[in-house]
Amino acid sequence: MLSTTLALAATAVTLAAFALFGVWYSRGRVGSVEDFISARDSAGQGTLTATLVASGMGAWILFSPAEAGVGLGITAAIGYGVGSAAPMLAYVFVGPRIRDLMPDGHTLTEYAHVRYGSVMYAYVLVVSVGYMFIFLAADLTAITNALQFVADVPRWQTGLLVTGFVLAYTAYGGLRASIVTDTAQALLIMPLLAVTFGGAVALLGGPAAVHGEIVAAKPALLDPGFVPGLKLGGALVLAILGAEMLNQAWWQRVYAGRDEATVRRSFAVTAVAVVPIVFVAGFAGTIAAGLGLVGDHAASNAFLLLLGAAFPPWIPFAVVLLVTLLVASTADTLFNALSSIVTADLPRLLDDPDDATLTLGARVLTVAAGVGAVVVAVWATSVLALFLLADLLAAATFVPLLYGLYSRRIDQWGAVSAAVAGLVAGLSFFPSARSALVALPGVGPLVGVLPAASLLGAFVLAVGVSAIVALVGARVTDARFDLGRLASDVHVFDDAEREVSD
Amino acid sequence: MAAVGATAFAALVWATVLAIAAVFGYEVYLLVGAWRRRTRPDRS
Repeated sequence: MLSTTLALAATAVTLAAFALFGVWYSRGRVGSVEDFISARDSAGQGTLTATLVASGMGAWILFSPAEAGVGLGITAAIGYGVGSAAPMLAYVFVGPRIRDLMPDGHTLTEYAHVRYGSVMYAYVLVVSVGYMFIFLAADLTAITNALQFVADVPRWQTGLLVTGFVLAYTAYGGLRASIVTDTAQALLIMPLLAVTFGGAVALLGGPAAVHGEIVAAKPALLDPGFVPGLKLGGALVLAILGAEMLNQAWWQRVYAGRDEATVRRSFAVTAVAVVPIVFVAGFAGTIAAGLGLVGDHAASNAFLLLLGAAFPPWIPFAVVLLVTLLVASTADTLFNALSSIVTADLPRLLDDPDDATLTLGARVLTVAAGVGAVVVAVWATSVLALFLLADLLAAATFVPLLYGLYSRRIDQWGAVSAAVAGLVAGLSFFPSARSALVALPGVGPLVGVLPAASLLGAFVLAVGVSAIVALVGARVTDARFDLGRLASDVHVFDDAEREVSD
Repeated sequence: MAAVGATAFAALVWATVLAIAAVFGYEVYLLVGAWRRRTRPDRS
């Protein structure tokens, strides 16, 4: 094992260099709020596809699919790959619709506010901020696990180091900086995945030898009909679909495309491109588990365990250093998103706050989110479990939210009821929530008679119940929303500023 | 049967590596194309 002090010093130097790059790149590039959160109509198919592929490639790829592949084999890895493609395919249709109905829009929360009203807006705000917080905590959990694994670095030290450096330069940047750091992420992680995975399999005796060992030890991991793996794969498709439809990063990029045809083509190409990239990380986890490398280690470290078995120790450490940069890049995107939600949305909740209040609010929330994420990362052990809980919230919300793009009939109470009903139904089958629900007085006996909890059941119910309640809600109401209001009530910020100054 | 499984496994390993290499190449091609369009002198 590498020296802890050396590992910490190398990590600090790497993060400091990245922070300086972030500050250097951002200087002078962000002139207005509109520049900060939108790059409207600026990207052709090449640039947009590049940033879409890149945006999907966070540090999570090395940890979360690997954990799924360790537990439930190749079918779960395939499910993760297909699941990652599903939201991209959905945006092929939903993306142009969003642009068509709300051409001057920026965020999904402003869509929720105009289309439904303040209650649904507050619900979506809580779900999307909660999802971003858990995403942040999951990434920090992954990197604290990884550095503890390769160099025995205490988890709280890694968490504070990464969060501290990222917070130091988060005040700079905006969407343009996010796009460039995402692209750097993708250019790093794709060769890293392909070369280290292919090299590890070759050095461990080649595919035939590796296959022989897995079949001898744990044949179920490679069985394409392995039912638990298929179930997790199915749950992952719904989980990722729900989460990504509520991911503000994709909504921003829908507007960054030059026109609707560009958006449609770019999301379609991305849907194909993400499958092998996500699959390979899950596949690495399956191979690590099949070769007996995981043992008592955290399953999310399976990719590093595979590298550790095939290469000298400095290779996994070098990979972890690169991954630290990816975590920093993901964290700065999330810190920026949290900060921009406060600056864009706080005026709706407070009575005409001044700039100083908005700035203070953004900084307090960002630091609180960072500190909270470090605390979660120190205690949490499973990246996948954190993601799945956040995904369930989103899975119960995305159908009622997006249904409003196509139906004039659904109103705020129909949408909120559908989302809450979907969440309650999903939680009652969510394995880690079931035991807590059973212990609740009054609720316990009701939950106790339900069939066994399962992730697939939880996600099918979250999506299915929310969809059914939304459809019924749209039928029973007399409300008729004028979809034209999405265009007339949402303006670009620069226009609003001009109108004010005029 | 085991030979078929081993062959399929090897094909999956190398096809995945090649697919990622292809995506990486396409990404670089797109980025270089976008960069060249941005830096091309305006002839209008």
